[in-house]
Amino acid sequence: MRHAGILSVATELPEGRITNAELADRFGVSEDWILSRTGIRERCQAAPDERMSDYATRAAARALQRASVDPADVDLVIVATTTPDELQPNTAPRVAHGLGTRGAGAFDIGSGCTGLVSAIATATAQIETSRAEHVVAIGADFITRINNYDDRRVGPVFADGAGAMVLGPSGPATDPASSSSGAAGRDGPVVPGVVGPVLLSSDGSCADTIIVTHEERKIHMDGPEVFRHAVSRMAEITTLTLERAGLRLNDIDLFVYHQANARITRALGQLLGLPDERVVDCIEHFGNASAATIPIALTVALEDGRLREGANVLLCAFGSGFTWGAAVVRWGTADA
Amino acid sequence: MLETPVTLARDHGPRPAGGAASILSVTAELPEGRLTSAELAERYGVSEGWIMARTGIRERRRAAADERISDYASRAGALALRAADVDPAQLDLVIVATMTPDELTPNTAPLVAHALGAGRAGALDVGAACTAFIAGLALGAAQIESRRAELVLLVGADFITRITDYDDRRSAPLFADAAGAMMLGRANGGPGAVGPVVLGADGSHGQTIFATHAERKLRLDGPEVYRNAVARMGGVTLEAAARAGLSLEEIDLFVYHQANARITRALAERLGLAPERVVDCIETLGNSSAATIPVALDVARREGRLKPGSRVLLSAFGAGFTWGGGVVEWGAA
Repeated sequence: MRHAGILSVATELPEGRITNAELADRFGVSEDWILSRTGIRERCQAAPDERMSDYATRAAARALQRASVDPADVDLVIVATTTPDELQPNTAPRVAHGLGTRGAGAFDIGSGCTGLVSAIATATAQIETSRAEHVVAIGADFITRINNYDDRRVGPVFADGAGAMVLGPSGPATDPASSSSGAAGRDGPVVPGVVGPVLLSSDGSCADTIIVTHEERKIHMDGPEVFRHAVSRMAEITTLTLERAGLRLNDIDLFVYHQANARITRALGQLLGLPDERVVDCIEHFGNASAATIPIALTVALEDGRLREGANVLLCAFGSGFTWGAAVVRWGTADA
Repeated sequence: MLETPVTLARDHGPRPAGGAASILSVTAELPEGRLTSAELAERYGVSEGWIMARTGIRERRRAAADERISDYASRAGALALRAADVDPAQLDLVIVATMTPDELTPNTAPLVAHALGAGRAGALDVGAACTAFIAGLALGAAQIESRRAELVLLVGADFITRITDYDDRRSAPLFADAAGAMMLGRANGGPGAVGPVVLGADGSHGQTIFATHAERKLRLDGPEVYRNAVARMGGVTLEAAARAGLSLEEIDLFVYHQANARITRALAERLGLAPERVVDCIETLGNSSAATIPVALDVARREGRLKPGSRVLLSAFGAGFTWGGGVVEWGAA
């Protein structure tokens, strides 16, 4: 069986920012109170007339351009989101149309903040089994549209954003996950990157910890409970996924966690004994945009030079449900 | 064009290196509650015959106001596990195809995984309106073929009556509530394989079937849906069969999304399929979106129309537009 790799990553972020000064005023707390609890100074917010599907489309168009993949060659568009523009239709067919694909398959994936890891698992297997050649996996959320600005512990966390990846056949590869050799795709770029093991997990007994009803459309979250589970679950699945890949923590060049809250990311790093320079922490200027945070964090790491060709990268997320997941990826993109 | 991952033609063509995925069981969980066309006819000041002629539906299932879709999805899943003799703790992944979750967050799949006792199985929802079950089938089969999973539970569940516009006498009589489930596992060398699955979309029709968050009511342009549904499901039937290396004559049973009896009949006519090879069970069940395919398969199974080795074409069409078609070789008893 052939391998799949991430050919490119791109983001599309709103210009608008909500600063801690604004929120501090609203909640009657200090800016430091917010910063010390979240690690966030400002977060992206889309304007009221902007559409999440447009952000998803622009992020995906940029990712396709970076990967030199023609939209006509895309077989499948997957959008991981909790906040589609409408109840129906889903976001993916809209994006597939906006990109100019030729009738590519299109569906949304819902697993809270874990959505992009679920989308990577989905895309990878479609490519490995030759059910698809090129897949666009998007994580896009406008969480400020369902944010709870009555709750000073919840309101400051959330943000809007979109990120996209193009996945395609990869190889021949030195694969961190398997001894079998990869086979190149017939068309398109041949890349050294490989998606290794992807583990997904859930615990529905904690379903009430993060909840949004249809009527209210407002997040209610038990922060301390989320903190506790997020740290232990992401640590646990980091270890399990590395075991599956036959790698140790020291073999991983970069750990890219869902940017939920800087305290969660720091606690994880401490629990696993990871040096700061190998953990991406970019929440300060973006906030938590749910399914979009992993492509945002990857883009930041690319820009600051920490994400290099050939790097072993651990991607991991945790969210409502609870759901969580992790992937080990050998980084090697088409635009290197 | 894609390579054909699995051809179902006998005597030729490769099966996936990791081994084919196979359907181990299929089950349905239907609400007791029924909404008859007689009741609706009275409400709309039309005859029961007017509704029957336009939809083919005499009565449709409707869940009670206090019932939860996640409970129906869980019960359908539990039945599928039992029918396949699978221990829930062995499940690797639970997929729920739905557009009507109980809440906006959390998703339905982790609730189902927990209710089933699936330990720490992965859990995700798939959204592609009425096509979601076919999308979930493509997703689940590839996880197994790539050896990323061994056992995947795929549920299609929708309570469409919760978002039905009962002020619209044309669309309201169509919709229903139901859940169905399918257990997917690795083919064991006997009959049973998930063949090619073709997915397509046309987002230029984003306004033909839509529902806003504020209103939560499905609006649809019926004639436009009818025209596109027949054309797209007809097209994807031919494409999926061709990729499987089969002619339509070599396919034993055609199971279409039960959207409207007129759509199913027009499709059969266009493709030249005799009625006995096409499942049409909408009369007493209505259109329950992502649930109709597993529910229709369960009906066909109970009627003895599915046998190990039967080749079955599955196809659906829905909001987006999205559509999909797949060919499977029946493995479940």
